[in-house]
Amino acid sequence: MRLRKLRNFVQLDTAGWIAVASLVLCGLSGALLAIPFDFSRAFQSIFKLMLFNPVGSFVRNFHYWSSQLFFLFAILHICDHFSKSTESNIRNYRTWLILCLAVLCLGYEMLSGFILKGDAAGLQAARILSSMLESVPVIGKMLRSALTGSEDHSQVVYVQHIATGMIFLVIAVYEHVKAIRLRTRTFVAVFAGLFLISLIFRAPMGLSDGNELKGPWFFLGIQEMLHWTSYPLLVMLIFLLFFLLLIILPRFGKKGRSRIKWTFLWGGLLYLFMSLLVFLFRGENWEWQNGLGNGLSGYPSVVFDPINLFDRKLPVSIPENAKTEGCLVCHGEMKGLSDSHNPASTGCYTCHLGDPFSSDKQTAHRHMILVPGNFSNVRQTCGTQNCHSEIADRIMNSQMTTLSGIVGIDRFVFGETTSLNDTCRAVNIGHSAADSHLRNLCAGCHLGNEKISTGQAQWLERGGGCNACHLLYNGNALATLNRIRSKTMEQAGETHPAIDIGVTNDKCKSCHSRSGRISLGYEGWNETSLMQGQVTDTTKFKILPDDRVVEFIGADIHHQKGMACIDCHGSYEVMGDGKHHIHQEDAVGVQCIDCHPSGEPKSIAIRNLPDRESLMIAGLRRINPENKVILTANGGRPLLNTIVDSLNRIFLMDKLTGKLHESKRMSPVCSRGKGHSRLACETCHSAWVPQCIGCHNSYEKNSPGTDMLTGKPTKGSWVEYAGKSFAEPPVIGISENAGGKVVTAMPGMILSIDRESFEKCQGKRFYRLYAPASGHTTQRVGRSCKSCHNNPLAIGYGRGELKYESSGTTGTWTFLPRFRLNEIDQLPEDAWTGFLKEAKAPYATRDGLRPFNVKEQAKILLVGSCLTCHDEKSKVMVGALGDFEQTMAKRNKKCVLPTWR
Amino acid sequence: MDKQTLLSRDSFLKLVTGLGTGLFLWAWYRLAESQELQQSQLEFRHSGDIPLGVSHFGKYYLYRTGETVLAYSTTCTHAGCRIGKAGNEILRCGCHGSRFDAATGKPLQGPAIYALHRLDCRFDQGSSQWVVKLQALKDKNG
Repeated sequence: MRLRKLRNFVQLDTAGWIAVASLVLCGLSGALLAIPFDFSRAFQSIFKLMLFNPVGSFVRNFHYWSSQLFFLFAILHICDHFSKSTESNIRNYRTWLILCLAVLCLGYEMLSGFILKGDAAGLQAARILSSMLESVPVIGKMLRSALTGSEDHSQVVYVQHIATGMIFLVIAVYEHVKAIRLRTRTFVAVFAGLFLISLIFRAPMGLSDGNELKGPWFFLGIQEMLHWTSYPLLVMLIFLLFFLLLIILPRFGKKGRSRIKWTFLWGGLLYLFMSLLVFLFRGENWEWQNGLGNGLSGYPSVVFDPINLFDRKLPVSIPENAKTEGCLVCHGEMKGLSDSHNPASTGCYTCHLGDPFSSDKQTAHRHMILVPGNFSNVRQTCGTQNCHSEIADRIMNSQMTTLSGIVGIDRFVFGETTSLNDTCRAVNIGHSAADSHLRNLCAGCHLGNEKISTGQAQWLERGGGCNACHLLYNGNALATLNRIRSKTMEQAGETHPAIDIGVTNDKCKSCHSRSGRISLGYEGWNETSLMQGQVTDTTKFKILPDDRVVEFIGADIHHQKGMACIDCHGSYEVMGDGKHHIHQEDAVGVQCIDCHPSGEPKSIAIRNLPDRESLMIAGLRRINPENKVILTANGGRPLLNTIVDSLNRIFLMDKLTGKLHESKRMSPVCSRGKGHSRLACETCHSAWVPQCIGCHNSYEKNSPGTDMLTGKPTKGSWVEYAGKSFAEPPVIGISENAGGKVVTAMPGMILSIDRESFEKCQGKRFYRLYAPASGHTTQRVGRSCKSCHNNPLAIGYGRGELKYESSGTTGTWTFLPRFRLNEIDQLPEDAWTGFLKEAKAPYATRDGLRPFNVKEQAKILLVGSCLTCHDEKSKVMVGALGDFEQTMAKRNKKCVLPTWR
Repeated sequence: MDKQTLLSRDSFLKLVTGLGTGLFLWAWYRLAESQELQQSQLEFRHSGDIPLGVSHFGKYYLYRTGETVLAYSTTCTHAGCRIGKAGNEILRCGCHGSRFDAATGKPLQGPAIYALHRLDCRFDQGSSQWVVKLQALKDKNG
């Protein structure tokens, strides 16, 4: 008896009467909602209502939740009748027809309500409905104009929603029950439930330019079906078929009706299942995503947002052309951002998420993203379809993200791979000896590392995704930041750090001051082993923010002229071209000859640009389509900051300052004769590169360290003990992969590794691997002949005394090394190859890069022996550069050539 | 004997209902037609220096290569959604995932199978402006 009472209490009433109560409340709340709603600016009017009108917001919630309740209980009511087979109790077929039309009308009311929100999903739903109606043969256009009207405003939808649809529904319901005699208890309970829900849960509202375009929950199944067919009319026909079955249902006998109802049941369950899948797993561009992880990139459907009905908020004016976001109520005066990220047009939500429909600070800042550029956020922020999705795709494979070469070579020297050409990813670094070494010493320079604090990235704070390079603080932005931190913030005068493409060299320096140290070298600085306290001459030395001491040697000519890193290295090099390259140089396309050709420059007119991104940038910069720009010989990428004029002169414009430079042609001496035809430009024009004579690596169990991939401290760390370092002209070798070109190299990994010091590892390893040197210390005048032909360091023997002595008709080259011989390979510590000896593989960190073999050494030294007597500018030597064999044939009898043992 | 009338009461009511329905449908048709006509006659003007590549303008986008400017409707030919800008050569429909080649309007990935409608776009020498009409060149575009 008690159970029955409880059941009666919980059941409240039949589904039908609950639906009727909901319909009445829905109609009443709709009438109230008509007061603040403006169909010509639907989104803006709802937005203002949500921000400044708590009662209006409550009424909107109430209208939404009552409609949902009506919809659900109407369906339950139908199911109830079907399950009891009471559909045959309908008075006459005319009433049945009216009820069937009422179901159709209910669908329209629900969908038009969704459309009237005016957000991106609502507008797209209107367009889909419009298109589907139009596809109906003969009367399509009439249906469309009657039910959706013009795309520019919601006038027709609004009128049909509030008048035609509602009136028809009320008539149909009245016709069905013949009286609206609601039980007070039912009405009060439904009202109270809706009141409570509406008070705490906000009705769904999307963004005006949202990317995840999902329809209302009951429409998701149709949307999925539409995705799977190229003929939307088919979907309409399926629903029409079900509707026809519903219409003719009473015409069948009991058995027939039962079969049709089972069809409805299974069809409905399938539809619900499909809708659930779509709700959870469909994301931007209707692609499958991990909905339980980060797939729900759109604005959440239902938001917990309690309303204080007695709060009286004064409406704040938001300019007509500004982005409709609640954030701008407080941050509308934000300065500092460039035009492309101006908050008036971009808003705040686009980058920082949060809640754009609340003016309450706490609610608005809920789920906000502090660092939008972090790769964990980038698909919801910088890399959305409306913004930089293409770059977000590319950058995941860029060298700065994968660290492929660094990871692969480190594993090679640790003996964890036998290949120098593994394609690796920093995010997959594990905990082996090599990987721990990377975690302790190298993995910090990884774009994927999360930036966790606000403010300017510190020297050691690398990573942060897009923000690593594009977040630029100036004095005002720093002052604002300090005010925020000290909680003395004033609303006016806020300055946001710029988000800009004007990336300064400092941004590159925190990572590229390591390893090859090209960033330091470019500005003329070389790292020393000095400690801070040892610096006395501050004009020659400076201390980096991480306490390393650098010495000024000589800056690259391009730096002296004012060029920045980004003037040569464009978007496709720095942010990747989409390919997962193995080594750094694979990703670089620009070469010296692009701007300094010997003949006609390779150029392309803007209007013929090969890639859309360049085309877009050229368009944004309003470059004349007839202008010609340099096209790189390697990779065919346009350099958009260059100009090739009608006289084929090449000009380059600094991206940061706008300064114009005329680029000189390659000097005739560079291409004179065949003697130096295989030389790469940097072989002569690299003034110096940082060089070391090796280092020792061991794992120290008790030394505190940092896991640079996670930023967490570790007990025990790999420690590197570096030997002496120098700033001297590079070593020269051969790149077989570049067709036997003579290229520059530098000690890459002359190192010993104590693997035994790391758990479960055995043995000690020693490698003498050189690496390709890209000095970035370009000098206008090439290095002298002697600096190569008579220089043991350049040839690969290491530092020491290389001497040519003649006695009678016999000439002999001797070499006395400066550094002692290594116990393992019996070569001087700083050598690449032995004096007049064949080197043993592996030679370098790249396949195909090797030191000179004995035959090549002999050739170089032969010229060196000439240079001991003849000045390099002498007629003999200039002639030898053109045709060495002929010069040798004509040599003086006094000339003593070297004798090779 | 009953008085003979031209039309019975029922027939009269049926006639009036029929005429009324016809009138209603005729008015409906004419109103829909005039709305359609108004839409197709709308004209949009743009300065001569349209950027190269894709420029979006709501209901349509312009695609410039050199001196040629083509206008395409941004209405997806599949289910009528508005296709989104995607920065590069490819345009995407966020509703059902279709992709289009911006230069030709042709679908690259379904469910759409028809090309985007090319619109009437011409250069007005007098005003040095590009003039776009929302009238689709359906037949020419195919």
